[in-house]
Amino acid sequence: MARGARSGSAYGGGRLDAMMLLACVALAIIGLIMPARYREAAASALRASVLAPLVQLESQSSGVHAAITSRRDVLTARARAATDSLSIRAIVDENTTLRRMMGLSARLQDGFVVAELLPRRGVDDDFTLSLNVGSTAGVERFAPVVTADGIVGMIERVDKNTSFAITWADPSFRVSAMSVDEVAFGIVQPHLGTGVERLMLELRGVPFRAKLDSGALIVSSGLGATFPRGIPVGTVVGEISTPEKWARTYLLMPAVLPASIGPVIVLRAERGARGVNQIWTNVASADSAARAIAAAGDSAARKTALDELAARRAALDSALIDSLARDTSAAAAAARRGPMTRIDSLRADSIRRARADTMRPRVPTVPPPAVRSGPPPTEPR
Amino acid sequence: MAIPQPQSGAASVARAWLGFALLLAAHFAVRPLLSTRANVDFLLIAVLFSAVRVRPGVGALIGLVSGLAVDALAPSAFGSATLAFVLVAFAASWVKAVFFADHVALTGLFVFLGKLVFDAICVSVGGGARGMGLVVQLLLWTPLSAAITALVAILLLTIFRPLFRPGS
Repeated sequence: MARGARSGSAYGGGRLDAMMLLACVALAIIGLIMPARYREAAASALRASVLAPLVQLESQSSGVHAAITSRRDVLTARARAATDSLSIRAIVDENTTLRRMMGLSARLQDGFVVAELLPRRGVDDDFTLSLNVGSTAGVERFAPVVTADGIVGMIERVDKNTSFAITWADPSFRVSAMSVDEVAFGIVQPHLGTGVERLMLELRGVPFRAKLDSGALIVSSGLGATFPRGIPVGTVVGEISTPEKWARTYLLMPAVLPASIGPVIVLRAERGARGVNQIWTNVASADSAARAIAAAGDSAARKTALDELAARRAALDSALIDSLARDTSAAAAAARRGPMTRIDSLRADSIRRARADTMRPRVPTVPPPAVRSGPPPTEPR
Repeated sequence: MAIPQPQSGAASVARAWLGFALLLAAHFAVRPLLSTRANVDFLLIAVLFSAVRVRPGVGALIGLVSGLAVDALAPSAFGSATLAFVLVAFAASWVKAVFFADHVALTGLFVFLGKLVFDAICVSVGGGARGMGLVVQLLLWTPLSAAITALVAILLLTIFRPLFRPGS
């Protein structure tokens, strides 16, 4: 490495360089043309002697590379296995959904149309489903759209071969619902919260006396003309506070989650009219629901009257005890002054009259509203 | 163009040998980790950086030793890498003495051309690739390898200047 030494050989090196080049080229050519066994012997001798450290270094490096590659292959295999398991799970879920749909179809027997969902056509139709069946298949407006899990929504627009349904998450969706034990009735509507709560439902207008536990199943009550009685709507998650202090509002987990909506069933009008009892749940008919509501109201009034009666009795009894005590002291004073009045006159007159009044049913005294003719007062004439 | 006079002394020689040893180790330690068709040829960089410090005959000798090391580990084309290294090292030493000053970009071009010539000789003499494979090797993988090797050479020359700069 003495660069200055070549200053004497101007532009091309001297004779020594040329000779060294020729010698090196000759050795290389000999290596090229020598028989294979000699080449291998020479290479083996070099690998075993001066190149042994480099061979070992290259071997270790190759081992590291093989380990990295193997690790990468393992990760790739794991990812592939995870992907395969997910696809298998999706297939299993789809099969389960189809089996349940077939079971629902068998229970319904007739009066329904099976529909597939069409791909979404816009970004603003999160709460709308496009179905591949229309009026040709017997789909009508306001027909219930259900799955084996429960209510999905209802048909809003019908074309000849397609139809559009709003789901339960649509802000305009409403369904009259009740608990399975017919204790609580109310109106189910979307819970207009934010985030995940937007995909919940709420049961509003439940009478204050009707308390539902979490997990209680809520089904359609059949009151109204759209949804037959007994289709699951959701399950109670808990009670939420609202400004309406005279009624309870419950948060519901929908029976049909948006992600699980696949093929659906559109109930035709005649099937809805026949009822779907024992299809999803075993509940009584719509008439009995109305009677249950009325009976629940009557029982509440009866309970209120009995409570009021008991309170009045308690108040009168305490008043009686006070008056008797006062009469006793007054009688003692009168005995000292002489007899003027009867001691038990108060009890004979007023107490029996009060008891008789409380047993009488309470009739509201509000006069009926007068019937007006013409447009409402708020409507401009 | 004035040829820079190298600093004489044991320190400069030691640095040169240290740089060569590091590149030799990288060739057998780092290169298998990359394991791609277009790979960095650390040994060629070592031979070129060493050849420009010595007279052409010594450069040819360095090429001969390096080529034998490569051929011993791949004996199927024994002699091809040796011949290629001898010719490239001799030419590098001769061309560097005549034309080039110490310039990073020119050094990159120098390494790029050296790798092209080296691969062309290896592929032509070794006979490993024929037909379309030979064309793909010479027109695709060889230029890619040459470009990557040149980039690494520039990087090494920038970072480890005392080890690889001939004038240091």
